[in-house]
Amino acid sequence: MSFPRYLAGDHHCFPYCIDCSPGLMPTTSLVLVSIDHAQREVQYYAIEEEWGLRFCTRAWEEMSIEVSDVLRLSRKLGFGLRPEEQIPTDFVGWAIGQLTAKPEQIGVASVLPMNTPGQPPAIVPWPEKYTQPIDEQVKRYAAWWVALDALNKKIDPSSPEYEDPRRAIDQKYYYLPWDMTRRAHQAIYGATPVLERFGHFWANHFTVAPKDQGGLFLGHYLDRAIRDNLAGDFGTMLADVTMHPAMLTYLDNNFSVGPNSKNGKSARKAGHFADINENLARELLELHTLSPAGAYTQADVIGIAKILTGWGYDLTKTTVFPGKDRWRPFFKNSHEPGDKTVLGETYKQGPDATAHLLERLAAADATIEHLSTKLARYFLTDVPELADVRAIADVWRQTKGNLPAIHQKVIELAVARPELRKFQQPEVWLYQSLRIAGGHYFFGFDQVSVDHPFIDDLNRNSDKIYEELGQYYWQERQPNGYSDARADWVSPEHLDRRLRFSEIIAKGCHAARDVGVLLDRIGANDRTRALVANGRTVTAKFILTLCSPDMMEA
Amino acid sequence: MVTRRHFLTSTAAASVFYAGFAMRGYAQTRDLGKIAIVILEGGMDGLAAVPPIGDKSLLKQRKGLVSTGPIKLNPFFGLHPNLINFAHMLDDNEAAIVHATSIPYTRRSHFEGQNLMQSGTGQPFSSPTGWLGRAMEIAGIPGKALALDMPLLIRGGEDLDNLYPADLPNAANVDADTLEILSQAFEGDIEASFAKLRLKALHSALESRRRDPAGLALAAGEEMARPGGPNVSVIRITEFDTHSHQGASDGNLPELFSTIDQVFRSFKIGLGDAWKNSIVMTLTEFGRTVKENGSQGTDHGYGTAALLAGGLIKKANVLADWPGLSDKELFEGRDLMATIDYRSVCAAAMEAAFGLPHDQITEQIFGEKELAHVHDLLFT
Repeated sequence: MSFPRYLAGDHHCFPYCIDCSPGLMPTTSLVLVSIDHAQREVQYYAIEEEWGLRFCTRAWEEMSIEVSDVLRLSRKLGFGLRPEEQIPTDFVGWAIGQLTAKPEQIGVASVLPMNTPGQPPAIVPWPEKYTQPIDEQVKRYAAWWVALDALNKKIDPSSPEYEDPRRAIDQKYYYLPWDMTRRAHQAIYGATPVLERFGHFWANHFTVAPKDQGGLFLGHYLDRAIRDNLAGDFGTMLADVTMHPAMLTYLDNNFSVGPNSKNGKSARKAGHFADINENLARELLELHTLSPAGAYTQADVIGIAKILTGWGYDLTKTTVFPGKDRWRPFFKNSHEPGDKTVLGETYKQGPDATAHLLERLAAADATIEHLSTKLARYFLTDVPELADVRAIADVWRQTKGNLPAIHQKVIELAVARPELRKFQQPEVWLYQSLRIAGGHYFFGFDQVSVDHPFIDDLNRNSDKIYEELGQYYWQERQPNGYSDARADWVSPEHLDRRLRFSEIIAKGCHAARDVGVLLDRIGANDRTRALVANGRTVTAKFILTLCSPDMMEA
Repeated sequence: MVTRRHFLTSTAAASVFYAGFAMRGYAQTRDLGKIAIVILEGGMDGLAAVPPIGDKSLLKQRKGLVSTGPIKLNPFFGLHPNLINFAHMLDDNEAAIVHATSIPYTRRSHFEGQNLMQSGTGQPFSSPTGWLGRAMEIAGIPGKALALDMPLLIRGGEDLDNLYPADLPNAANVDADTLEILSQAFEGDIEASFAKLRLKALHSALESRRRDPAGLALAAGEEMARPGGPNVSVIRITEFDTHSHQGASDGNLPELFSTIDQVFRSFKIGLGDAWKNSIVMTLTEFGRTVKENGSQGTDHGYGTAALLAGGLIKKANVLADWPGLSDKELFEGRDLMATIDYRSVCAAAMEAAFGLPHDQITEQIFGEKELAHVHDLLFT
C-alpha cells in the first residue's frame, strides 16, 4: 500500500480542524486522491493511526479529490496532462513541488513533416544558442542593423532576389520568434506546468511588449525578471521588472530625462526639449502595485517619474549596460537632482531611491489587496469570495511577499473549492488543447521563420497564431495586459477561432485521434460525453470536445 | 456656445441602471437611425486633430506638436490636413466637431477611462453593461461590434453580434450541425454566440475578408444599411497613447488621423442611402497634456476633441465653450479643460437616431439628471 506524498512533521490539516494549530499557516496539505472508494478508506485509517489525526476526519473527507477534479485542477492551475503523463496521486504535493523548481527549458527541434503519421518529435533541452545574455543580444541587434544596411545597399529591397538573403539575416540575428516558440513549448511539453502558469500570470501582470528595440529583451525579461523570481519574493520581482530594459523601453522611461539633470540642461542649451515622461511612473502605481484604490495623486506620479529618471540605456554606446548588474542600466547624467516627495515620504537623489520606493510599494497594503484579488480572480473565478482573497493576503503579509507560499495558498484554495470555475483564456486553452491531445506545437525551434509565412502558413509563422487567437503576448498592446474576465473572451468571432484551431489540432498536430482518450484526459462528465457522441465525424467529435464546457472552463 | 457645465462636482451615482426597464413596447414611429462609434483607444490628442489656431497660446505651449498647413475651418479652429475627407463632410454640412470635451473623468488612467467612456457610469468597473447597450435594450435594436471581442459599450443589448473575419486558410468554417450541438451544450452568452455562428454557416453570408479599420467600417456600413441590419456598430482604433514621437505633420499620430479619415469615408460609402439617417462618432478616454513631454510626445490629459459625421447632423460647426490654453486656464496647470460633458453629446446622438427622449436617456442610461441638452446644437 502506498501513501500519498506529504512532508513528515507537517501533520496539521487543511482546512484546519480544532486540533491543528490554528495560528500557523500550513506549509503543505494532506490530500488523498481516491479512485476506489474502498481503497481511500484503507489509506485514511492508516494515516489516522500513524499521525493520530483523530480530529481531521472531516477535513480528510472534504479534501479527497475525485480523479475528474484532479484532471480539471491540472488545467485550472496548469496546462493539463499529456496522455502519457501519470495522474498525480497527491495532486497538491505535485503542484506545490513545482513552485520552487528550477526546471530545465525544453522544446522539440522539428515537428515537420506535418500531417504524416509516425513517431512524435523528441523533446530535448532548449538549445543555448537561442537564449543569450542580454549584452550578447544587444551586440547581435547592432549586427542585425549593420547586415541589413549592407544588404539594402547591395540589393533593391523590392526585388524578388532580396527575400532569401533578408530571411537569412533575420534568422541569424533576431530572436523574438524563438522566444515565442519557447514559451509555447514550455507550456505544452514542460514538466512544471503549474509553475509556468504562475509565470504566465506574472508576465501578464507586468506586461511588456516589443516596442522600438524592446522586442530584443523580451525573452531575457521573461527568463530573468519573471521566471527566475517565481521562487523568491514579490519585492525582488518588482525591482527586477521595473529596472529591466524591456520595461524601460516599453513604458518610455528610456526617454525620461530630469529637466535639471546634466543631460536635461545641455539639451535645453542646444535648443532641444528635455523633460520627464510619466508613463512608467503611472503604471507602476496604478497597474503594478497600489491600483487606483491606493489613493495617490498626480504629484506622486510626477515624483516617481523624477525618481526613475536615469534608468534607461543607449544602444549607440559600446558599453550598453554599465555596472555590476548588466541588465540594470542607470545613467546618472539624466537623473533629476534633489529630493523628491512621494506619498508623504522624501527620497534622496540617486539610483538607491528607486530601490527604496519599490520596497515600500511592494509592502504596501493596497498592493497586497490588489494582487491577492487579482490572483484569486485569475485562478479561482471571475468574482472571488472575499474570504479567499483575505486568505491569500494573509499569507502575503505573514511571509512578506514570498511567492511560493502565496502560490501555494492559491493552489490550496482551488482544491478546497471544487465548485469554482474559470473560463480559460485563448492562449492557455490552445496550449491545454495541444498538451492534452498529445499534439505538437505548430513548429519546432529549427523551423522558426522570422516574418515570412511558410506556404502552409500557420505552420511556421507564430505571429499568425496569436493574432488569430486575439491573445498575442508578443505584440504591442496596453500595459494592463490581457483581461481574465470571461465576458472579454466570449463573442461569436472568439468562439469561431476556437472551432478553427480545434480543427487544425485535430488534423495536423500529431494529436491522438482517439476522442475517448481526450475525454478521459479532461475528466469529461456524462453530459459532455453525450454531447460529443452526437458528432458525425472524428474531427467533429474532436472539435466538440475541445470546445465543450468541460474543456473551456476549469 | 453651450452653457458651461460644472459636472465635476456632480459625478453620477454608480450603476443599477438595469433594473425595471419596461420599454419593450417602444413605439417605432419612423425608421430608426444608425449610430457607429469609432473608439480611439489610448487617449486622442484633440489639440493635434483640431488645433485652435486662433488661440495665441497654442504655439507657445506646444510648438513641436502643431502640424503645418492645417485646414482652416474658421478663424479660430483648424483641422489636421490628414483629415481631408472629414473636411469635405464638414463642407457638405454632414459633420461636426465638439471641442474641449471629455467624459467626466480626471484621474488619467487609461483603464478606468476606457471603462467609464463605455459604461457611462460614474464609478470605474461598476457596471457589466455599456451606455449604448442599455439604449439598444430600451429601443429594442440589434448591434454589431467590428472586433474579435464584444466591447463593454454595447453589452446589455439583447441582439449582439460581431465581425472580425478569420484568416486561417487551414481551417474552414465549421458545419452548422456541429454548431447546433455546441449551442445546446451551453447557456447564455456562449449559447448565443454559437447560435449566431450557426446562422452564418447556414446562410454562408458573404462577408468582407478585410479587417483593417477602413475595411471593417465598409463592411459594417454595408451591413447596417441592409433591411433589418444592426442599428449600432462599434469599431476600435488603437495606439493613440502617443507618449513618445507623436509627430506633428507626419508621424505616428498623423498616420492615425489618416486612418480615422478613411474610416469615416468607408462608413459613408458602406452606408450608402442609410448615411442620411446615421451618425458616426468618435469616443476616447481622455485628451493629452497641452505641453510636449521629454520624448516628443504627450502624457495623459483631460479635455479632447470629438469628430461626428453623418446625414443626421444638421449643424456643421465646432461646438465648444473654449477654456483657453494659457497656463492658468489649463486643468491642473497641464491639460485642456473639458467644458462639455461628452455624455451629453452621446445623449443627443441617441435622441437624434433612436428618438429616445432626453430625460429618459439621462435618467435611465446615464443616471445623471443634470446632463445638458445639446441635441438642437447639432441635430436640428
